[in-house]
Amino acid sequence: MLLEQIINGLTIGSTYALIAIGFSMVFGVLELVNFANGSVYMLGGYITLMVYLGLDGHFFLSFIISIIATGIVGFCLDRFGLRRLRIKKAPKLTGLITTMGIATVIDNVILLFFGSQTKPYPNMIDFGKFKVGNTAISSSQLIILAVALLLMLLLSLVTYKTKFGKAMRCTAQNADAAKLMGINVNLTISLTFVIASMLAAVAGTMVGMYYQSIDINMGFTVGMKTMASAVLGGVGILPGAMAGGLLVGLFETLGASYISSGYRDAIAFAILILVILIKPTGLFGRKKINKV
Amino acid sequence: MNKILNFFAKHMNKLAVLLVVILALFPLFFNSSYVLRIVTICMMYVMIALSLNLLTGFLGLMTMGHAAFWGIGAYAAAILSTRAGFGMGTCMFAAAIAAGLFSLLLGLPTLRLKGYYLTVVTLGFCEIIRLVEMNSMELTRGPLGIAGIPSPNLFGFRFNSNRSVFYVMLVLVVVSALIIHSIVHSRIGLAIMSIREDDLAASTMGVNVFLYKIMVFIISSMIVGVAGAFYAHYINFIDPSSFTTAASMDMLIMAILGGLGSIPGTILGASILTILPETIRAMAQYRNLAYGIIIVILMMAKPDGILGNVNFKYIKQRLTLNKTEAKVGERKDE
Amino acid sequence: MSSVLRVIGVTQKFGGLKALSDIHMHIEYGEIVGIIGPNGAGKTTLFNIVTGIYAPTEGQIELDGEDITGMNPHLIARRGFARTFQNIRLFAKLSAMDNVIIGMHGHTKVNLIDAIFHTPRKRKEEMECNKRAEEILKLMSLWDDRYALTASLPYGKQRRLEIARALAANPKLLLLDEPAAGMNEQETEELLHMVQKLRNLGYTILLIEHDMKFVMNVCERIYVLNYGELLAEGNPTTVRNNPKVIEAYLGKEDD
Repeated sequence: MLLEQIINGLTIGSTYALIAIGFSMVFGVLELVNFANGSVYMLGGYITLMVYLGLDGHFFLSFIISIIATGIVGFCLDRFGLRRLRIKKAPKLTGLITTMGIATVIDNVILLFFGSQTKPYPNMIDFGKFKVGNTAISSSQLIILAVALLLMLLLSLVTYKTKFGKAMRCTAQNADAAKLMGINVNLTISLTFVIASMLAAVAGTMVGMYYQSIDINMGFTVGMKTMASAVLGGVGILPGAMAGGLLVGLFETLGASYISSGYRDAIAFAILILVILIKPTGLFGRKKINKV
Repeated sequence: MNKILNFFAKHMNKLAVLLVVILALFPLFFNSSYVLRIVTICMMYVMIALSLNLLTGFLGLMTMGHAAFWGIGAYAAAILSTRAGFGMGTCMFAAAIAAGLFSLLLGLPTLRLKGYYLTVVTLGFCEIIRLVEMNSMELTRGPLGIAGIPSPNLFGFRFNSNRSVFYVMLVLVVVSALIIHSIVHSRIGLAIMSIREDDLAASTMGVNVFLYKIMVFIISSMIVGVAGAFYAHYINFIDPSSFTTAASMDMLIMAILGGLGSIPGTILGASILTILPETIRAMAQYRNLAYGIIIVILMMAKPDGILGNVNFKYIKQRLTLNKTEAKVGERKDE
Repeated sequence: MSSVLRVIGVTQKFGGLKALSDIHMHIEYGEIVGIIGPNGAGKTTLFNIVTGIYAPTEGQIELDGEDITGMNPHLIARRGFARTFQNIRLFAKLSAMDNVIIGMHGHTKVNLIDAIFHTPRKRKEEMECNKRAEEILKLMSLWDDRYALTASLPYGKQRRLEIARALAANPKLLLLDEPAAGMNEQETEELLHMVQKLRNLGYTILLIEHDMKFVMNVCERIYVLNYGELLAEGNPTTVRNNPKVIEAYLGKEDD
C-alpha cells in the first residue's frame, strides 16, 4: 500500500518537476517569477484535447501540435511582451504583474472556449496494470515516469553539454557580459521560454491522461505548487527543480492519504517554508556572494 | 504634462482636503445604493492598497500574503461580533492586534529572506491560512463561513444604512492615509526608502534594517486587518474563498498600477481597478478577460505605474528652487 | 586618549581563501591614514570588517577603546564610523538632500509615534537635521544640487555626495573607499583639497586609494597590504622607498 502511494506521489511529482524546471529556467535567465507558467501548463492540456477532438483521433499528432502551439505561445509571450519591458528597463515587479495579467488572459480564453465544467480526457497510455511483487503499478504511471525522466535527462544534456545550454547559463549569470561575448541574449531568453512552455504542455497532457479529466482550475493551483517546488529546490537550479517537484508530489500524496486531505494543497507550501527556514537558498541553492 | 504635475505638487495638500470634502458631501447628492456601495468598496480597496504600498512600494518587499491578513482581520471581527457581541470599535481593535500578531510571527523568521524567496513563502502563508480557515470548523465554520455579522455599531449607534457605512469607511481610509503619509514623509520614511534602495548601505548609515522591516510589516498588516474587519461588518458574511492568493495578487496589482512608492498613485490605481470592472460589467463573461488584457497593456505602457516616477515632494522642492533663483535674478537686475 | 581605531590580529577566511592575515593597525584622532596595495590585497575586505559587514574569522576591532568585533553594521555606524563605497552606493531614487539626511539616521531619536503625530520633538529634530544637511552640502559644493535625484548627478558629484552622506553622521572616523576612482586630474586635485579641509575641520580619515600621487600627498601615514598581509607601514617617504613595496607594485610609482 505504501509503495503504491509512493509511486503515485512520484508520478505526479515528476509532472510537477517538468513544470518546475521550466519555471526555474525562465527564472534563471530573467530573474522573473513567471506566473503564467501554470496557465501555459493547462493550455497545453486543453490544446491536445481540442485538436484530438477536432481531428477525431490521432492523439499523438494532437500532442505534437499542442507542444508546438504552446511553444509558440511561450515565444510570443517573451518576444512581444516581456522583451518590450526589458527594453524599457522596467522594474522586475512589472514583469511579474504582466505575467499575472497574461495568466488571467490565458485562463479566461480557455474558459470562454471550453466552459467551466470538467472535461473528460482520453487516456492513451492505459495498457492495464502490472504487478511487481505486491504492488500494482499502472502503465500510465510507468510511461509518465519514463517520459519525465527522459525529458529531464535530455534537458540536463542540453543545459550542460550544448552551446545553447551554455548561452543560457551565461545569460543567467550575467546578461550584459553574455551580450558582449556575442551571445544573442534576446533569442536565448525567448528560446528558454519556448522550452519551458513545451515542458509545461507535456506535463499538462500527461496529467490530463492520468486523471482522465481536465478542468480550468488546474492551472492556478499547479502553477503555485510548482513555483513552490522550484524555489524549495533552489530557484534557477535544474536539479533543484527536479528534486523539488518530486518531493512535493511525494509528500502531497502521502500526506493526503495518511494525514488529511483537506490540507493537501498546502503541503507544497509547508515543505517550502520548512526548507527555506533551514536552508534559505533552497536545497541545492548556493549563497549569492554580494560584492560590496 | 509638466505644468499639470507642477500644479498638483504645489497644491497637493489642498487638493487632498478638497477630495475628502467632496467624498464627505458625496452621499448627500448621490443616493443610489449601487453608487454608494461601489464608492465604499473602492475606499476600502484604497485603504488596502495603501497599506500594501507601504510595504512593497516604500520598503520594497514584495509579498503575496496581504489577503491573508485581510482575512485574519475579517475573521477576528466576525467571530467576536457574532459570538461575543462586541461592537465595531472592539472588533476593529482586535482585528488589528490579530493581524499584527500573525505578521510578527510570519515576519520574524521570513523577513531575512531575499526577494523572490520572501514572495513565494508569503504566497504559501496565504494559502496555508486560507486552508486553516477552511478546515477549522469550530472556529471559523470552515467553508460555510460566518454569516449574520452585524453591521458596524459604535456604543449602541448602528451604522445600518448605505450612507452611514460610507462614512465609517471614509473615516477609516482618511485616518489610514494620514498615518501612512506621516510615516512616509518623516525621517522614518526616508530610512524605509533607503532600505528599498540599498539595504546594505542603509545599515552602514545606522538604519536597523531588520527592525524596520518588521515594523513596516506589522503596520501594513494591522491596517489591512482593520479593513478586513470593516469588510466583515459591511458584507455581513465572510468565507475563506475571499481570502485567496488570487486576492493577494489583485491587491498587488492595485498597488503597482498606480505607481509604487506614490501615495496619490496608489489611490488612483486602486480606484481605477475597483471602478473599472464595474464599467465593463456589461461585457458579461468577457469581463475577466478584458481585465487581464487591460492589466497587460497598462503595465507595458507604463512600466513604473501611472505615477511611479513622479515624486511630488521633489517637484515641489524644485519649484521653490526656481522661485528663489528667479528672485535672485530680479534683484541682480535692479 | 585611546586610538580611534585599533585593528588587532585580524584574519579573514572565506572558505579556503585567506583574504587577510594577522593585520594590526591603529589610527589616532586627527590623522589621515591611507591603505594601499595591489588589487585583491584585501583592502575593501578590511573596511567591510571594520564597518561590521563581515565578522572577522580571528581578531578584534576596537573603536575608541570599545570592542566592536562582529557587531551589526548599524550599531557600529551609531558608534561613529561612516564610510563610502568602492562602487558608489547612493540611494538612487532619492534626492541629494535626502541622502545626506539619511546619513544622520544613526543619531536620530525620533520614533514612530513622533512621526505619526508630528510632535514638537520631531519637528525640532527635523529642523536641526535640515540645518546640518545644509552645512554639509555647502561644504561639499552640492547645495545647488540638493533637490536633484542622485541618479541624475554626474559621477564626480555623486562621489562627493557619498562623502557628504558619510559626514552627516559626524563620524569619529571617516572611511573612504577609493574616493578618487574614475576622476580626472582636476577632480582629483579638488578632492585632495577637500580631504585636507575635512582634516582641518577635525575629522579623522582612513582611506583606500590606488592613485599614488593622491595618497602620497594627502596621507600622513600609510599601510601597505599585499595578498592579505601587512607589507609595510610608515610615512609616505619611508613607504615609497621600501624595497618590498616597490617589488609588490612592480614600479607603479607615479600616476
